Amino acid sequence: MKKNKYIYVLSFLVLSFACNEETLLPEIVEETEFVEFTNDQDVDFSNFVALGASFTTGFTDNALFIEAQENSYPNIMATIFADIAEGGEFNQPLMNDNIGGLLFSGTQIQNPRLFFDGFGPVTLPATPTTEVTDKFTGANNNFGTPGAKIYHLLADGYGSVAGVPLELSNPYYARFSSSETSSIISDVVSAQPTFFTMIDAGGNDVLGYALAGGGFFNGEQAVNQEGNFDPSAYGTWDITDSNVFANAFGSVVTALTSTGAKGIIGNVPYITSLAHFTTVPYNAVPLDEATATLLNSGYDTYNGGLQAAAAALAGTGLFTDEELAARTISFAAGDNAVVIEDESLTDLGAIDPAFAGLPKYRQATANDLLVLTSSSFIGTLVNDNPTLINGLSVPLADNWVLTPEEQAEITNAIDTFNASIETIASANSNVVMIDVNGILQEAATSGLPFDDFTLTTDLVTGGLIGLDGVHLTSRGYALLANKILETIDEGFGTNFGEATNGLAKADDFPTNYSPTLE
Amino acid sequence: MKKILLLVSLFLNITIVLSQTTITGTVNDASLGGTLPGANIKVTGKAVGTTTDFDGKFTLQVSDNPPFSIEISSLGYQSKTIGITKNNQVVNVALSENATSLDEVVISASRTPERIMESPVTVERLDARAIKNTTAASFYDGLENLKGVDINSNSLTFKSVNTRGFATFANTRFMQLVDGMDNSSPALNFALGNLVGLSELDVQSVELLPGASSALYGANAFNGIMFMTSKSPFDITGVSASAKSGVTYQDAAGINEFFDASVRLAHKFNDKFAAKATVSYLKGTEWFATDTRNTNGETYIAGDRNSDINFNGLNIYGDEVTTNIKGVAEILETTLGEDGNTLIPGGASALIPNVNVSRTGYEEVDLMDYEAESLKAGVSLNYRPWGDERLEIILNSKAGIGNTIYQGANRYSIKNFLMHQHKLEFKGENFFVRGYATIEDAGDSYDTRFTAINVNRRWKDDETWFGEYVGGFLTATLGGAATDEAHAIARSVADTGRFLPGTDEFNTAFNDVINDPDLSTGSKFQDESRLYHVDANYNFRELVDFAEIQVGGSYRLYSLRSSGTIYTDFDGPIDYDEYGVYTQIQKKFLEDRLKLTGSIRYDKALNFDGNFSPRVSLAYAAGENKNHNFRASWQRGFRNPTTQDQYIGLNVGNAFLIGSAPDNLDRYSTPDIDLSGTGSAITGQTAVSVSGRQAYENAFSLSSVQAGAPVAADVNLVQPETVTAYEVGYRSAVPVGEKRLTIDLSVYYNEYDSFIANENVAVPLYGSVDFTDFAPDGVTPLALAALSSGDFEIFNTYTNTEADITSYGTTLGLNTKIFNGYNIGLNYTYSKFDFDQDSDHDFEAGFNTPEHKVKLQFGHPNVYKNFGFNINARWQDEYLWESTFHDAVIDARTVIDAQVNCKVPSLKSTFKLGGTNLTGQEYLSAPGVGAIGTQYYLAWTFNN
Repeated sequence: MKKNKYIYVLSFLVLSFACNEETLLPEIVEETEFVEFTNDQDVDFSNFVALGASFTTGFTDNALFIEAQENSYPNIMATIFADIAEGGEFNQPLMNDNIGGLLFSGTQIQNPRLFFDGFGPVTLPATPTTEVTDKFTGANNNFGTPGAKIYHLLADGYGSVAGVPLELSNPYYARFSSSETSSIISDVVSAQPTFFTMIDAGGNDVLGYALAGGGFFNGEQAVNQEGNFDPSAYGTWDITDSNVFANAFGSVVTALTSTGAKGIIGNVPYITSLAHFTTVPYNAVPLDEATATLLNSGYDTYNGGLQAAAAALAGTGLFTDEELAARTISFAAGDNAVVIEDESLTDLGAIDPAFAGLPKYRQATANDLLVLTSSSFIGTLVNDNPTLINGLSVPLADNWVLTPEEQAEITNAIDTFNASIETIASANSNVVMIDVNGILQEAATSGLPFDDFTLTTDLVTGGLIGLDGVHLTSRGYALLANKILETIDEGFGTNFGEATNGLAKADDFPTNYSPTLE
Repeated sequence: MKKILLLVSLFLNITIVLSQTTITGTVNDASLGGTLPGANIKVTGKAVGTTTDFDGKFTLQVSDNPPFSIEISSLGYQSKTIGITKNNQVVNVALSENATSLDEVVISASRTPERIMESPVTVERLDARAIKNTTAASFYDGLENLKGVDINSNSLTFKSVNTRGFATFANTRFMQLVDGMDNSSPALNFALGNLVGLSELDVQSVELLPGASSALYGANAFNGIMFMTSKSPFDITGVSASAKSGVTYQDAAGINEFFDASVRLAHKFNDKFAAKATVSYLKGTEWFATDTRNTNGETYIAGDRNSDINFNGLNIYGDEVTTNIKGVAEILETTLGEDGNTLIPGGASALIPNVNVSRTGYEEVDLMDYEAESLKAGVSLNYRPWGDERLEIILNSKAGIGNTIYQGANRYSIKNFLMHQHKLEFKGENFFVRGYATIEDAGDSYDTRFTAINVNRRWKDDETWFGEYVGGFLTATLGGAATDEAHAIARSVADTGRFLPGTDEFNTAFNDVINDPDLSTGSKFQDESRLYHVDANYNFRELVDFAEIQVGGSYRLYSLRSSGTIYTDFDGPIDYDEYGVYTQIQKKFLEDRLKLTGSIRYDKALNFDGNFSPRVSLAYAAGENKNHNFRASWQRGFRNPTTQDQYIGLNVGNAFLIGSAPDNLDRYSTPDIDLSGTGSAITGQTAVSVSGRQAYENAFSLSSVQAGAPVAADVNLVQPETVTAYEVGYRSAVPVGEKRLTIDLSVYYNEYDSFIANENVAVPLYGSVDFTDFAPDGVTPLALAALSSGDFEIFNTYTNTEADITSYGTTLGLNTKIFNGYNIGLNYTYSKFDFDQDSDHDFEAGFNTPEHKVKLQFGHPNVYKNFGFNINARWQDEYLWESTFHDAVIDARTVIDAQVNCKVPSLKSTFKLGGTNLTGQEYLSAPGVGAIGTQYYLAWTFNN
């Protein structure tokens, strides 16, 4: 381009004062109304302490790791407290990595976290680096302890390092316990909380039983300990006695509030709504005609025995036609229900020794809940014998299934626990109860709206529950944090629900953790 | 150059010797010095005459024998009469400038010549002299300096003129006539600026009547009317030419050259026959429109493509295509893929947020043809059978072809747009009869928004794109991404393989799309609509003495031919006609001081009842020299709905536009629209089509839907809108020392009734808005179920608002000369409108006019040795611009234009160096248009 073409332009440009131009297209700035936080009752959030079990730690995808802890609901709440409610520092006994799992003296005692490999949850192929014996010291605000039952919170020595290999203490608490003889509650009280949450403290008192399918699991038989007032005699998978539960819960709350601290306590949800129990269908075993026929022939003896027993016991009322129909095993081409062992069935051998050879088998129904882990067990072979197929020719043992009777035990226990919690809450003006059970039921039925999402209890895809089927995703924990904050509003007159930045936002919390995160 | 001069001299030397008396002479400018080109020399009482050439010289040959007298006149100068006593007499006279411009004569205000001072209504005028002194790059742009006139710039080459508010770029309320021909495009119903208008060299005068004039000029003269009159080849002969070149500068477009050249050839063969031809060619670069800020389809909102997943940039197109990704996920989790599994796992929609996501668009600069180019030509054959003005037969053809940019609901590249007009006119001193045809061909014009949408779709259809987006989002989420990151990954997954501007694949798709007239796959505008018009006027002044009486009438036939791409003329042209008749009586009283004018016009259009529009005006000249002129008028104006208001049937992407002519409603049906899962379950169909009638008979008001409380829309078929206008004014030339100060003040008040409005409605794809049918639950009205499932479409209806709208304003103009011939002018315009939004929530008034405007002019046509200069400065207040394209507040602005010029009589030339918007502060005429930068030009004008 020739320069002299623009000589006349230049002469005019001299006249122009084109320097101090305003911006023609100024950036559009979002205007949002600022709602100030109000705290009319002067609730003191300056030293917030959380206690409870695994949910409180942020445990997710079957493990505890740094990012999960940072996305724990207490930490989410503490961040909001610090932002708008004069909250103080919130320290957590962070793990050493994002792998999850624990080592004790170099031996892995807890597995790394699960991740989604495109098909389903798988364990991260990595070795944990968090060593229990390498104790966490320093200030702590999060005393959540995975696996703790309500009475454990009061148990001296529950954080003993030495007790870990003997399975006498809890490895997570052992990492940060103040001494070999301290109890969680004593450590919490020493932290002098001004505000506390205890949301999931009663869950493990019933969850273990459910995880064990109410059966023999990991070397222990799950037992409903109702009536047994001695918790030291309880096993891992047992249901805590309701009186023991009520006393322990009450003691913990009394200890927490004795200094005037206020807090939120949670009741126990119907844990059978969790994905761990709702994911595996009872009847999703596809069979072709030939296999079905073959399998049926394997039950000819059993079915024939039932018929004989029915005939023999006709009119006695001891063996009903309904039970006969329920127990008769029959496969057909297409999807079939698995065969399970159900100890609640009539013990025909006890009635008449002639039928002693008849086991308590039946095909599962929609009322049975298969535990999540059964999905990788059903269809496997016993001793590589192609005729011994777990769930078909070989009935699933008790620990794989929660039968309606077992579910009723769980539900009854939860109902009595929750009645106690409600009584404790209503008797103490320093605590307000959050209806965790109601929240989980809403999630399991209509889903929980959270900003642009509706979280459901579906495994992997529901967004609420992590890959282990029990614990929440970080988005789920964020929602729980919001529910707690809104409960604080109701109970103590604050306005987290309306205040600007008063609630966590769904978009800030992922549902999954990357496999590359370590 | 030599060749041109040779040609010029050839023309100038042709004379046909018939006469007996020859008079030669020179006319000088007594006020400013120098000669006076273009002055008229006329034998008194006859139509015989000539004009001075560029040097002010003339030669007049007449058949009369002395003694007789000749009148020497020039626009803006006081006439002189000189007695001719002998053959070959040499006449040297000097004319003085009129003391004020109020002595000028206008025709349009009463369809009869009268001094502007005595006009019964407000009238603005721009003449050849003003055009020479304009600071604007063209006379048309120069209209902006008239008081009360707004120019809305679509683009460099398409300026839209308006007065007294309620303007959009599709200014169907303002009429533009060129030599009596309506200059509007038959399909668009408005004039494309001066694209197919008048050559600057051929402009005799421009008169502009602000406000309604339908009592005289019919249905479309609602906001105002402009008359452009060309120079008669009997009066102004010879060769004249001009060439303008310069640059436009804009931040976005950089420095671009432009070029504008015109030639006018006119020759009077004898007293009976004269002819002229004009050709103009312009080439330049349009202002780039680069406002990429985010919108919600109506106003600006925060965010950009990175921060807003549903980003919809103002000058970014294709990103209007938006959908709720949770809805997509719900479909995907029930749709079986080739492997027999659902496309995404059941329940996975819980991981997909309930948000709308927009496709990635293209910026306008990659879609619009910014090359401004136009060629216009006209020929006129003028025949006077008796050699005088008793009868003149004019055969006139004009054609213009060119490229420009038009902003309506979308931004259109008007490309190779051709419009031609052909007129046959018989006119005498007391009558005219004229008929003309306007024929257009939209050429290669296309819609940039649909270009982007369909380039995108040619690459990847919407279903696939959104499906991939959801898949990408889901994979990212399960891989550990938080929401923002998941959206970013999802977009990059869906955008994989996107056609990038500049690549062959983009160019191929782009060219295919802009040549495809089906808006579901292309963006081309097809139109060959026509308009035929006849009108006639007779003035009884020679037959009736007691008053001046005129009668007239007009007939117009539209033939809409868009092949179904704009109008619903799928099956052939739609014909639509209207006619009108009018009469006017004018009488002077009280020593001619009081002039009463009454007019009434009746108009009838095919689909509407007839309308009377009366006008009564009075003008009173007070003062010894009749120098204090008061005027007052009352009139009712009306406007018929345009052909688009009645016959459009167009999918513009975010809405369907449905004209409301009774026979139009069923002629348009939407393409099949996919139903949601819920909708499919209820109706048993996967997709439905709805007719245009639904928009008028079974629709919710969109504002009520957005407010969450849907109510049935009450949309009547569009009817004519009316205005009742009251106006008073005062004109005067007040002596101030030796000079005179001219004052022109007008105040108006308009009451509008049944203002034509667009109303957006939401048509449910199933269910009655009366809630008479219910969803399977037996409780939810079906139509509400449709709304909540997203099974509705937005229609833009054409109707009238019930809102009471008034507008009022005032204009004050002051002009005088100071020092030694410096012109100074100052005018102020106040414009305001009132209406109660509560009376019609859906109505968007679109006043689009600043409340305060101040314009200042300062110049001298001959300040020193043939040098002159002129400066215009304009300030206007901020104002809200409302349109189907976008709503936004336009900032207040000050614009300064200036020129210096030099006459070189020896070359018969004037050179002008000028610039517009010299502060360099770019401004917008409306949201979405290219920001107007600075323009510098050097113009050479020869023999004009």
